[in-house]
Amino acid sequence: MPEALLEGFQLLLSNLWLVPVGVLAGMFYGAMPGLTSSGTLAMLLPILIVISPEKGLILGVSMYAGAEMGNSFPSVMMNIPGTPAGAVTAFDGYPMMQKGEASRALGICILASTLGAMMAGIAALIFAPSIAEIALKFGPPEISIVIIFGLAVIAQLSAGGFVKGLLSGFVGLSLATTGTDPTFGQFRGTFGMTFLFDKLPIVAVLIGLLGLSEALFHAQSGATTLLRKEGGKTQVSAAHIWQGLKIGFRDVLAMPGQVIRAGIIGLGIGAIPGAGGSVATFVAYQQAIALATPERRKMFGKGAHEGLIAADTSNNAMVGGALIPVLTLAIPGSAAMAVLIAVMDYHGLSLGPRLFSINGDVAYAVILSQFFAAFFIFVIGTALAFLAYRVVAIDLRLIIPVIAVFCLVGSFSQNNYVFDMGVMVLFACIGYIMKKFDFSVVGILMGIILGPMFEAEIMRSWRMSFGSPSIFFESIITQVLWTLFILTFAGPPLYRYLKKRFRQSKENT
Amino acid sequence: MKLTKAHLGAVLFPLLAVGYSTFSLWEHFTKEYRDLTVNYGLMVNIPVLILAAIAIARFLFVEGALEERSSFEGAPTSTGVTQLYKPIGLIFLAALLVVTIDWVGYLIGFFAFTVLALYLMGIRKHVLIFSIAIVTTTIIHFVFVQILQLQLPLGPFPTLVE
Repeated sequence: MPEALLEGFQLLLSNLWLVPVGVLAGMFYGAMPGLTSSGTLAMLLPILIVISPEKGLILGVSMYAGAEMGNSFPSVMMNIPGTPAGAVTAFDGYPMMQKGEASRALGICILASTLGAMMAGIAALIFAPSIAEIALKFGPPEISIVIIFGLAVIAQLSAGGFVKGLLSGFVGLSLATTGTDPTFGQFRGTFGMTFLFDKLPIVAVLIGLLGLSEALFHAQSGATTLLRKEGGKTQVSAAHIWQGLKIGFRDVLAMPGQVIRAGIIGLGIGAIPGAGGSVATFVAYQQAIALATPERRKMFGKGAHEGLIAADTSNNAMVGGALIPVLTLAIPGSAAMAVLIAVMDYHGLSLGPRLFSINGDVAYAVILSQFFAAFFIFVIGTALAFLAYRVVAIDLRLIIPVIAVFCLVGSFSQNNYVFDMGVMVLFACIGYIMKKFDFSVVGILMGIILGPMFEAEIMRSWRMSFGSPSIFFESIITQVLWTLFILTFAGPPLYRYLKKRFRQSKENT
Repeated sequence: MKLTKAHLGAVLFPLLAVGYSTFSLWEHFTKEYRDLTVNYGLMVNIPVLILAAIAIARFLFVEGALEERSSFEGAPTSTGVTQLYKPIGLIFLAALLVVTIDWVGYLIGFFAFTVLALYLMGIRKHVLIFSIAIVTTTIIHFVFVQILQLQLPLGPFPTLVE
């Protein structure tokens, strides 16, 4: 291993220029609403396969990492997330921006993403084979329980009240049944429209619910800028932005536990084939809420730093996590990783466990590139933050029509259907009504995003057990997951109760 | 109890939820889906009906339940003046664009949409309006169509794009 590691490092050094290029390109398309990393990597496949395998893989992984960070810019500054994972960043990032803490929010996103990518790199370097082995033991019942972790946010994050939050979540789950039944292939809720045979276009739905609906709110309010005015004018000076970024960096460094927990969640769920980034960020977010104090819990969805840290750390750690089964077992956990396997296969690299023994230099070069990608995420992300900050300082009356145009193009870009633009407009109206009367937009989004996966996994589990629910409790992993689930709900209040009792008894004595 | 406009607005989302869930349940029972599919449909739709009924009842009969969210919560620059015609106008323009974009193409469509939306937002400087519309359409053309190869509807200008 040390020889291969050294060779990998040398290989990486000779191709190091590809990392900043990949990160920058990734940030660019990540910031474009509707463009997914998998779609863009697939689009760039002709380029990735004509260059040497190590170049193709390093460029692909760097782009993937950059895209996950780049997605945070429109999420924080304009509430237009390009992916489901970016929606979680928008939950707290955008309210921070509204409170005049835009640069602080960007600082949190940048450093949290950097640390997430670093953690993933370290874990991939040391524990790759063992993580892959555990991840492969996650079958449908285990993944169903992991998704329940994510869905639990619906109950925990109900600013407008428990009933409203739960109603939004179940409406989301109901809407998520639109399209082809994942088990039997029956069409449901399509109203006879072929465009809905697959499922609801997720990107269009989330751009409508979060992005355009917010633009409608701003249009109604007659506001002139998205940024808070200080001393009668909007602060866009470089010094002001840098100050905010530094506070954001400090916020992240002040919460190492939060970073480590979100990193482990992102890494672990990223390594499970089929689970994906959105599940990782939702679960990390749920955990951040569950373990927050009652006072801090009220802040989630209104600009909680913990929420933003959880979202961005897990999102970037997930990239490294997804890389583990690819390199060790040749199992792609996501569509983007399938593109990388195609690159490896095209060049005749040994796929699966023999990769490290036969092409160890390439495997280690790819793993080590994550550290450099993390560094460049920090540098390039910080530089771009200045630009992103200035964009939203423009008069809101000028920017709303432009936001609307980008929302329309972004919703089109997922499937290349004009129909999706219509869906986006429809969900913008729904989002507007929901926000106006304090229904949880987060809840409906969670349901729509996680619903199809939840249904598919639960159906598979039921079929495997011939309808018996015992399958959800049989394996050791399911038992551990249920225990963790109960602990995250019952643990914090129990701990506070015991602490209070202990303090009272101490005072009495 | 006196029904107000606010009451009607507040019950709109629960009513939409009831409508969709009723349709979904009707579909599950009439289209001969497999048992597992029907079970899942019941699992997600029955709670919607129950929760929507509770939400509507709370809005109508519980005092203080009808709290409209501040339209610009946390933001400092709100003028406090509500201009409902702007969001309605934007939605109308967006819907119009969606309906017509296949015929007019994205170049004319986005250009016209931006011009009209800017005018709706209260901008009256024509040079500024046309400049923003041209820049936005150009960015869409070069970034999304030329570089990222998005297949936006071309309308009457297929050769210009190729």
